[in-house]
Amino acid sequence: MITAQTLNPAGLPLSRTRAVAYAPAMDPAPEDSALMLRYKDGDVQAFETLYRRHNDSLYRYLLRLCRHRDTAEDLFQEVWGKIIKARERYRPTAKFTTFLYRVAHNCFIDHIRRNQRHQNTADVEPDTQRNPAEGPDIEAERSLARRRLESALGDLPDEQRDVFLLHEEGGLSLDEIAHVTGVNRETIKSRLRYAVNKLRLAIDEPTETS
Amino acid sequence: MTKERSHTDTDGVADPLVSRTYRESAAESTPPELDEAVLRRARRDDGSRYSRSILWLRPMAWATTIALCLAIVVELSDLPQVDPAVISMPASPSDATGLKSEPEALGETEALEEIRADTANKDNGPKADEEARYEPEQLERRARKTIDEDGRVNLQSVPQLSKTALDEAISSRPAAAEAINSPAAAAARAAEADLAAKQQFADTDSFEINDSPIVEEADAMARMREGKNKEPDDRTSAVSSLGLVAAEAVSAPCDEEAQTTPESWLECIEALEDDGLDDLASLQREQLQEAFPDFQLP
Repeated sequence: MITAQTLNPAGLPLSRTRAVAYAPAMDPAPEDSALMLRYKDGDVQAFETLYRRHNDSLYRYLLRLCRHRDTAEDLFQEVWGKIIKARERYRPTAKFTTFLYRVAHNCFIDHIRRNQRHQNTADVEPDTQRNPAEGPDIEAERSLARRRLESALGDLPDEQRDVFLLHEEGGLSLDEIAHVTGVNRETIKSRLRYAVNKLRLAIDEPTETS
Repeated sequence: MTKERSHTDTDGVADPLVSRTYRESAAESTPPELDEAVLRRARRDDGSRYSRSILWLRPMAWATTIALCLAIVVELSDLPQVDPAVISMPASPSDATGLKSEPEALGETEALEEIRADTANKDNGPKADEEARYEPEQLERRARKTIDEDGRVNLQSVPQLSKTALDEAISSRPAAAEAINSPAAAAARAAEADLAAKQQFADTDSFEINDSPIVEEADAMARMREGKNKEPDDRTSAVSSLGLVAAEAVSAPCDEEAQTTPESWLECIEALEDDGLDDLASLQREQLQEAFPDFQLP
């Protein structure tokens, strides 16, 4: 069983430390907004910088939300296509990340409406990170935990999975998630709590039962 | 700062172990071909500079459209306003019912025929046109056009000179009657009326007159000239005699009452001589001698 190492050497929660690596840099709004405004003025290089900053997290968000690689790639291109199209109307009134994930969320909703019942069968194999410094036992336990988490994440309802992914991949706060999904903050908080509890139970599941 | 905010924003809902496990499991990257496709699209759709360069097109198009609309409205408002009463007023009783009487329909047909005939005559040259002008059918057609059913002359269709002559002829009616009563004063007016009538007759070429007062007066004068029991053959000849009668009024200034007896006729002749109308007086003397051969002139 994995012992939860919830604190890093600095005394901060470990998840927050990792979240910093995935989420945009501290107070990125001006920079992302500036890049978008530069692209609006015709600077393609600014868009490339902006794209490199958010492409992986958005891809993972869509990949785990759709649980289908081809659909995720189609939606990924659709989202960036809308961002490119909307550059003339872009106003830096909110974080670019909020804007980006709002577009992605709406594209996913539209995809569900178009297909009524999106494929629930996952064809995504988790691409895991391995820490060579860890021992074989620990590595085996963590690998098992990742599989359990992936399985549990796929079993989550779409709304709960969406909130969890927006929090983890987009680094959005409850208010921002509420803004993206159009649902009030308490509902988002409730959905996130349910999602985290289910995933935690899946991770803490005894080895012999898995 | 982000960490603290995230911790505060989630209100402790997020689980660090779950987040860390998820991070370890989620390490996918965007496929390079997908990156290339998006970036290629971003470069291709970079039309912002071009868009800015043609930003003036849309307001320009709107301004042009509005200007054209205003010009059309102003142009339409400058058109002369037709009185609705004039529009609704029928030109004739038949127009009020929307039906045309047979004579009107015939008139339109004849007018069309005349236009065709004129066009054909123009093609034949002035000589053919002049010949066709005096053909009986043409003359009759023109007469029908210039005179309506009531016998009134349609002044708008008559040539201007004929109209003037007709006015003079109408105004000469009292003068003609006066000439019968007072030969000396009416002689000049009768001559003028004669000339006017001749001019009218010449201008209208064919002047078919029905029951107009002018015709009645002409008939009366013709009867007076040719005898009370003699009816005129036709009204055209009566009209033509209008000028002759007026001219005869000059040559025979003495009325019937004066011609009843040789003495009164002679008094009339002497009155003419007193007025200096010696020619008329000599003419009257000859007529007196013809009428009363037994009467011995002084």
